[in-house]
Amino acid sequence: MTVNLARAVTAVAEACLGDRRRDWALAMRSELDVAIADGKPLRFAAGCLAGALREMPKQAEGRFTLTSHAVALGLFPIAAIMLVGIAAGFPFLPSGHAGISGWLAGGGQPVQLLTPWNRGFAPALALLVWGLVAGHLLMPWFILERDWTRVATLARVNSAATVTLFLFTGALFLDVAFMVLPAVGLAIELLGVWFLYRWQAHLFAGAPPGMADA
Amino acid sequence: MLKLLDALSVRSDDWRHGYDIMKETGLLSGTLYPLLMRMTDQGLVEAEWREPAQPGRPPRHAYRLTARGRALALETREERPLPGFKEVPV
Repeated sequence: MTVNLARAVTAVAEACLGDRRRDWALAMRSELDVAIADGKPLRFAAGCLAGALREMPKQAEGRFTLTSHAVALGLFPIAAIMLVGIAAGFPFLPSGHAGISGWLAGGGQPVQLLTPWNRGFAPALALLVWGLVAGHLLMPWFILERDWTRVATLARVNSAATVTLFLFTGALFLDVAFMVLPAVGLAIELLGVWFLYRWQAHLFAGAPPGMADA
Repeated sequence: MLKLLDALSVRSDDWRHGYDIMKETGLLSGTLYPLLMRMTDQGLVEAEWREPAQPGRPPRHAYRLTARGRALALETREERPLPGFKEVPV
């Protein structure tokens, strides 16, 4: 158990060191076998992880990884806001005239906005909202994998879904003000993704696939 | 760093492994490896993969001082307590 835990901790340390320090990561891994034979694997592995974490901000690749994680974690609240919105009935049950602040505060009287003639759109709108939530939840995953092709595809899908939702919400005379939150969320997401993409393009320019240049 | 210089300057031609240096100097892995990385970057230490003494084991990374590292060790010798002697407050 301790040995497995030590191996897992060392693997995290290896990942933190990145491509430029690959040799050092392998060195730590090979010394772990000696630490296991010496009966102190966890102490050795924890030290390696602490050292690797301290090294991260000193290297460009490490700073990029830390920022990617910060952006990825920062995107979760967007999905959370959408989920809370769905739980509150968005976009079918806006809270009367209380506005967004009233809705966030739980105030206002929910008003059924779907009428018999537009009720048929409800499943399509619900599917769209759930698709957006899924898209916002998948985005951090692809960012951390540095899978920029999927990130770009997902950014286009999320943008298209938000615009479609916006158009349908307007066309069905639902409260368009409630689209402000998803739109702002999408804008933040796109800006974060664009910033990371430009940075990684500069960082990995001229390097073999998957390797940092410096 | 002085502790590490001191340890590596003894039998400076020999290649030493990370875990052995840890045991010898009392440095923890979280201190030793960043130091070794920095000293290698600065050209004070050279690193090499060495075949293990026991067959079937993976190769191990080994370290020793470069000529520049040895020169620095000589220059800073006075700043370090002599090995084997403990400083006693007077």
